[in-house]
Amino acid sequence: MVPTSQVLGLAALLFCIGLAGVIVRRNLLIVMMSVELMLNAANLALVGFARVRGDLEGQGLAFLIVALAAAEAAVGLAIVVSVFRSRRTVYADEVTLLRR
Amino acid sequence: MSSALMSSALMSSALMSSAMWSNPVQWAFWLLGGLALLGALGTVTRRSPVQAALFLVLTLVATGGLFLVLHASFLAAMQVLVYAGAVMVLFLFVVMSVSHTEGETLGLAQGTVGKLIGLAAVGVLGHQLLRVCLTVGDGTSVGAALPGGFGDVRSLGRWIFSRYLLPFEAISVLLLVAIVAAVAITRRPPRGRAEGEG
Repeated sequence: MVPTSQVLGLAALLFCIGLAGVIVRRNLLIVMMSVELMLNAANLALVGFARVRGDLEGQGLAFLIVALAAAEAAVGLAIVVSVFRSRRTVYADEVTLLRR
Repeated sequence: MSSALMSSALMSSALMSSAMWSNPVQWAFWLLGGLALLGALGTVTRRSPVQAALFLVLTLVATGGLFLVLHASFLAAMQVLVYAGAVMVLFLFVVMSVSHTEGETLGLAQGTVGKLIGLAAVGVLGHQLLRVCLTVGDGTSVGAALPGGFGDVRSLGRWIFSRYLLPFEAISVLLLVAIVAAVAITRRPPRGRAEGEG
C-alpha cells in the first residue's frame, strides 16, 4: 500500500507550488487559484492521515475546509472584481492607492 | 522549482526504498499524484488566467481521484462537485468578465530580486517540509484494515450530525455571510455618490 510519507510528501509538494504561486505571481486571479491549491494540499494531508489512523476526524475537517474554501473564493473574487472596477487592473503591483 | 530540485533526492530515495511498485494502489496513487503536480505547475506558470484555471481543474479532479484511493468516497464526490464544479465556474466567470488583459509575461522582468528571494524562501520551506513529511510517517502505510463503509456518506453524515453539528452549522452561517459580503462588495454604489474617489 501507499506509505504515509509519500502521501504527505505529495501534499507538501502541492502546497509549495501553491505558495510559490502566491509569492511570485502578480495576477490577483492566479494568486487566488494558488491559495486554492494550498488549501487543497492541506485537505490531501488530512485525508491521508484519516486513512492512516482509520479515523473519520480528518475527513470531516477536510469537508469543512471545502466549504470554507468556497466562502473564501466568493469573497476573494468579489474583492478582485471590485478592484478591477475601480482600478481597471488585476495586477497586485499596480494597485498603489495607499502608496500615494 | 528549486524546492522540487532540492527535495527530489529525498523523494526518490523514499520512492525507491518503498519497493512496493507491484501494488496497483501505488500506481494509481502516483499516476493521479503526477497529474495533480502537473496541473499545479501549470496553474502557477501559465500566463493566461483561463489556462491556469483549466490546469487547476486538472489538479482538483486528480485530487478527487486521490481521495478515492484514500477511501474518502464522499469527499471525492464533494471535491468534484463543489471545487471542480462550482468554485471553478465562479473563477472562470470572473476571469472572463475581468481580464481583457493580454497576459502577464510571468513577471520575471520586473522585481526579479524580490521574486528570486521569494522562490528561495519557498525552496527552503519546501525542503524542510518535505524532510519532516518523509520522516514523520516512517514505516506506517495507508494499507491498514478499515471498518466497512469508511468515508462514505453514511459514516461521514453520522460524524457531522452528531459530535460536530455546531461547527457544521457555523460553516453554513459562514457561507451565508460570505454570500452577503460578496454581493455587498461588488454592488455598484448608488447614483449620486462619487464612484470611487481615487
